[in-house]
Amino acid sequence: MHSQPTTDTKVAEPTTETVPMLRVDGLSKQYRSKHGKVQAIEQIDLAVHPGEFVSIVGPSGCGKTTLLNCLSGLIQPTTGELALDGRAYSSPPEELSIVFQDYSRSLFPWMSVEQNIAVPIRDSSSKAERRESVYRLLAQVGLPEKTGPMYPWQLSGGMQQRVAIARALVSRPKVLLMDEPFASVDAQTRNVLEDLVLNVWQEWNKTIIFVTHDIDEAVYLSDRIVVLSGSPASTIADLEVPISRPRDQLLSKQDPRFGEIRAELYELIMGAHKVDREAS
Amino acid sequence: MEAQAKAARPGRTPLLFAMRDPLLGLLGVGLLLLGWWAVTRGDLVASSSLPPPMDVARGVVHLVGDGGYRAEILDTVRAWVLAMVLGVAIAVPLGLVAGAVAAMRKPSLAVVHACRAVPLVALIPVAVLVLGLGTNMKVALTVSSISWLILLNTIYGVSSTEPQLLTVAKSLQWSKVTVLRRVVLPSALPMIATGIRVAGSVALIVILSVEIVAAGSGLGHLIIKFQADIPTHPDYAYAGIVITGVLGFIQYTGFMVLERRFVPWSHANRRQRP
Repeated sequence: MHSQPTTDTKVAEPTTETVPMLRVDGLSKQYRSKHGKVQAIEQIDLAVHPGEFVSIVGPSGCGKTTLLNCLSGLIQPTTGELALDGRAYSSPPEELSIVFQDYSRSLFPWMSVEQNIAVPIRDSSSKAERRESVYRLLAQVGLPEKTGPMYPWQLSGGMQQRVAIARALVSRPKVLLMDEPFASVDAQTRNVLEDLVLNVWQEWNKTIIFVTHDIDEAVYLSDRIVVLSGSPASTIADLEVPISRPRDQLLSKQDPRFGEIRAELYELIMGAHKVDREAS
Repeated sequence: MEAQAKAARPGRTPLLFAMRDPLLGLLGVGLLLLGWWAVTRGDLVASSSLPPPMDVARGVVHLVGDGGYRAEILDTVRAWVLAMVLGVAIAVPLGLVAGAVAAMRKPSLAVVHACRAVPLVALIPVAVLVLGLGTNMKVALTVSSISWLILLNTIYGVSSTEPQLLTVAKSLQWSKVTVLRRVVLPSALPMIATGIRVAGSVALIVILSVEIVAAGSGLGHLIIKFQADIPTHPDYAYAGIVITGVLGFIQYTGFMVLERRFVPWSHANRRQRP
């Protein structure tokens, strides 16, 4: 069917504002459960700009993962619209990749590291292309070449998450969604991987949406932090992080503004917790 | 920094260390034989009940060397191979469908458990009536007792596919058939393999039982003949039992080797380097 040439198909006027890389309008999500309807997300609006690093934080169990699943197109929101680079979508778009929380369960145990990384492009590229991309990415995420033919379960947790990051990058997505990717690695590995993500982000000019429950991690990584309230999730704050880049695990965290934002976030999240508890 | 890759270092295991497990196994067998020899030597049991190991060993050589007897042994092996091929060919595809289609899972599990509850011995008279005393009867009974096992393992293997991997497949927008081929099947393979391996042992037990009770040929038939027909040949009867044990050992080890080779990602195999 052809749409009528009405006012809503007008050509966008050139403005100084860029088109958001990811736009969320009035997103809400309702589940039906044994106890009736459960409102998981209520009216979230979000615009993430190209090249921006946005973290989403909130009290545990507030629906962060549900939100991410909606953003990735894996589940359908009850209401609301999603657009990636100006194009609406309702199923997982190709220009978007996800790094899942549980690396040990999101990598295919019967595939080598090399095959795992190539999974997203196995139908769309030649063997030689795949090999080239895979080995370039291995270097990019700091894995030695000899890990290519190994199985993921022969690697440490941190190395497995590097494989997962490489896999998310192989299709050259515009947007990376990361769902608490470092929740189950040790503290030192976590710092190393945070810097790896920052490197990848800067070098490849990605847009990253990073879900975490770790306040320090959010402040250290992000340009902007979106704070969610407890269930149902809705936006209660949207903070800029004016700390200079490139960031450094020691220096950036000594910046007085780091402590200020950290404290503000802490108050917000603890407040959300409290409201949540009083409500239930 | 992160821990280094946990891969085993290849090529550094001393020979004696590598041979430790087989050597310990041999030691066990040796001790058993020694005990057996001591019991018969000390006349603790009548040699008609338990002949000495050397007599039984001679019996083994004779049974394997004699064309007629060898044919009986091969008859058992053939029945086993046929039953396994049929069992896998029937049960694996059925299990894949029953496991993958959520609506079929519960009903098929109920049917499987109900059918499995019928003891095999109850079927022997019917099977003999319908199929006679030959290979067909043995194979039919064996297939009907091992298929459930493979079927169950396949259904459980398919339905226990890691949900996170299905999510990954969904995010890549793979079709249902692609998901089945690339995710569900490989993740069910270790359980299917276990089912087949266990079915291999059960199949041998079933074939031997049927041969002893009802069949006109095969290793089990030989054993019962040497035990019952006058003059009795207890050494040959025991030789038949030993050959049965060897067959069981070969098939079980064979399946283990195949599993290690073809499903190195199964949890049981993960400790070894593929």
